[in-house]
Amino acid sequence: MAAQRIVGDIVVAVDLSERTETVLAEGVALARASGGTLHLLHVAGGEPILAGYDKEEVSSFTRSARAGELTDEHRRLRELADELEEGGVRARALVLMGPTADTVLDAVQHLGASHVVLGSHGHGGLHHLLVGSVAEEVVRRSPVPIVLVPVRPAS
Amino acid sequence: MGKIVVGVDGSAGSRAALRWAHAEAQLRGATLEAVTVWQLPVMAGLPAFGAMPPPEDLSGEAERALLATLAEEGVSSTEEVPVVSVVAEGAAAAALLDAADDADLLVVGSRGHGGFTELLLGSVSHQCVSHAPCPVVVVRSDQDQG
Repeated sequence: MAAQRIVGDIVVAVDLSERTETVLAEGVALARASGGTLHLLHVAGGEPILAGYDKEEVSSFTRSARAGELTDEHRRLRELADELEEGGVRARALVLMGPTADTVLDAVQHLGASHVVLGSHGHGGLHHLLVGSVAEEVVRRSPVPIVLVPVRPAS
Repeated sequence: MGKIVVGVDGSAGSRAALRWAHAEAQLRGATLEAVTVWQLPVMAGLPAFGAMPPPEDLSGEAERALLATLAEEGVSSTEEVPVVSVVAEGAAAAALLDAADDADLLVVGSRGHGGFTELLLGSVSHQCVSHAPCPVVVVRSDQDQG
């Protein structure tokens, strides 16, 4: 039986933590095998909710700090993509904001990806509290095969 | 040579997982290990004399079913992709995890039957993911060609 897999793009959800390298390695293995393009997707959290702070200066300060963070995250993601490209793997960097599972699934659909790769736990910050729930939800709703990379929650 | 382990129970989900795993093994030049798991039936109360088949029958049954599934899906051992079939006894998740100990990937269908999986993210794929020594690929019956 010949391999009938339709070669497609691969979405790799990375949280830019120390787990990123492990998760990315699986995406690279898949891409090298199939020749598909890797889309490095970082789902950025929304603005922090500041309950109890309503001063204008606090709000604008956090907003500009968040904008700076997003720029920084995109730069780090592009650097990762550039490294992969140098290694002969087609890679794109994508930062999207929104609820993690929804955003990953939207990206898969929008890009017409054939696979999605993500860590089994953790997606940084607040999402870390919802251990594993992102992976679970993506597995439940993904229209394409999902590669779950076991990563231990950071202690 | 790398190794890809796939759990096979004859369900549509596990057949999709098998096709995916076989294609991936071809792409990666890896060995494919197809694992089926059988368990002694749990019986409440004493079975009627002779009602319980001897374990070797269950094991042989499981092996025949596995080989039939492999044949039906056109999966046979070749030089490029050696296929190994394994019949294990015990809890499905534990047996798959044991088999995947030195594997590159563990592939499971997202819907099995019986003790394998109930929900889409049933106990086997869930337990496999949480405790896996390697990445776990979850394939649904309608998505292995995707």
